[in-house]
Amino acid sequence: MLHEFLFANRAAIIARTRAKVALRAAPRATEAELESGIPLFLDQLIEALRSPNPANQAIVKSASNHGRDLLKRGFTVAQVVYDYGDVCQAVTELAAETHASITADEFHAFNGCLDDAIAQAVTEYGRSREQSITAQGTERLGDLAHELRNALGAAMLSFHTLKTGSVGLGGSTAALLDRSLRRLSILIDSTVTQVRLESSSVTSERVSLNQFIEEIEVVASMEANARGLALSVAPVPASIEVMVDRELLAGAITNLIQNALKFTRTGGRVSIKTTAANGRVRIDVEDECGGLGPGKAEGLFRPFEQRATDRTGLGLGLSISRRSVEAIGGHIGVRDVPGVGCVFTVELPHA
Amino acid sequence: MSAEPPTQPSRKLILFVDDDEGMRAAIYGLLSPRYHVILAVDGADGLTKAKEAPRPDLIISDIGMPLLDGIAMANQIRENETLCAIPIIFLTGQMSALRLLAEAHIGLPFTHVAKSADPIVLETKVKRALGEAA
Repeated sequence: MLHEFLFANRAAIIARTRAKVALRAAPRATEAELESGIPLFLDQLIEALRSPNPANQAIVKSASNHGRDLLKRGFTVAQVVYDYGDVCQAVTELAAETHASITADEFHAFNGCLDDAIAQAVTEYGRSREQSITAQGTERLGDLAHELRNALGAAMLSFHTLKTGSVGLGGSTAALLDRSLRRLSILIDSTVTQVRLESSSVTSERVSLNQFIEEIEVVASMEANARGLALSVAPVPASIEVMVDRELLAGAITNLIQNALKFTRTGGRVSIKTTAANGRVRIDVEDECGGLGPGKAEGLFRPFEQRATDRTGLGLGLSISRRSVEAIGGHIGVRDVPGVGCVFTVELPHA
Repeated sequence: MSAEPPTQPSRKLILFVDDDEGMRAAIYGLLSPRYHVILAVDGADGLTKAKEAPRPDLIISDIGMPLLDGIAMANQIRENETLCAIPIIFLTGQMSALRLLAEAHIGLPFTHVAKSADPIVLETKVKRALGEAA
């Protein structure tokens, strides 16, 4: 009888299964996984095959747990399927080698149990994964809502104060309204960009950088004036063109300029230079933040790294900018100029 | 003997707690013409400033803040003998915070206002909390 065979050769089957798993190229299963998962399944299989009307509930439940467990340990769906497949092979091999008398019906029942187990484990794995992704999404949405409401709340409160007429339009309340509306705008743009990047809806068109930079300059110089900073934009040769998603590039460059203005000391200057050489186009945004210090440069692109005092925004700007530039076939980097500031460079292939 | 000059009623003291700089500036701008306003940057800072003399007449606080959130801060204020009767208005930016409030069972008196609500609502609740005619 199959269940007697399985019971009698339990240790051997487990050992063979482990050996097969060890041969897999993909992440090696840990001893702990084989300790709890496969032996448990095997024991329940023995129970199920022993009873006259095998009820597979226990198998289904343990297979569920097994699938969830494997997700937590970072395994893929393929691993889950291979686990059960390896048990089946181990059993079949051992049975053949020892000439065990197992009927075709019993093998049929055995395969049925395996099918149930695989289906259940994979379903549970998929369900847990979706749940985890949704939970992450919900958390991000909550954070975004909080940021948006802070900016909106500050805007509404300051406008309300202005309406009472007790303060003039040239003071700090009006400036706060201005800042808050701008913050809302940035939050909305960055959210839309993220959604577009995640859904891979990236278009491509021929963009003349001359006109592109000029449009960005108009808004940027207003911002610079408001902060008491100078903005220098070197003239861009008319011949420089790129094939990109215009909105994604605009978002990335605007974000770099916003950062440059945010971190440049009062009275300082932000410079933008666009050049082309060897089939590559470079856009350099240089600020006067005083320099970053050794080793800090690459950390800036990690989500939630934030410099110094102005902490408005979600800290995602630079990491979104990098993803945007990479999505349009380019590269973004930063260079520290000690004691002076940083130079952020966007590099793209010339159209 | 000359009569003593009539004493001016001193302005009520409001403590506002929020980790967002824009909100602190906006609330200060809204309330400082009528009240004396003190600002705190998170729950821990709020607790420290609440304990300093003079005692606030009202505390307005965000919920979601680093270090010590608004609800945890409110619970500690409730446990403090000198502070436990101070009314609290929670200013919330996340709807999930309302559920937290409902579950938190903070002692009276408290109410809440959404950050995106019309500022009139906040002004009215401030007046009521301070026992002023709305």
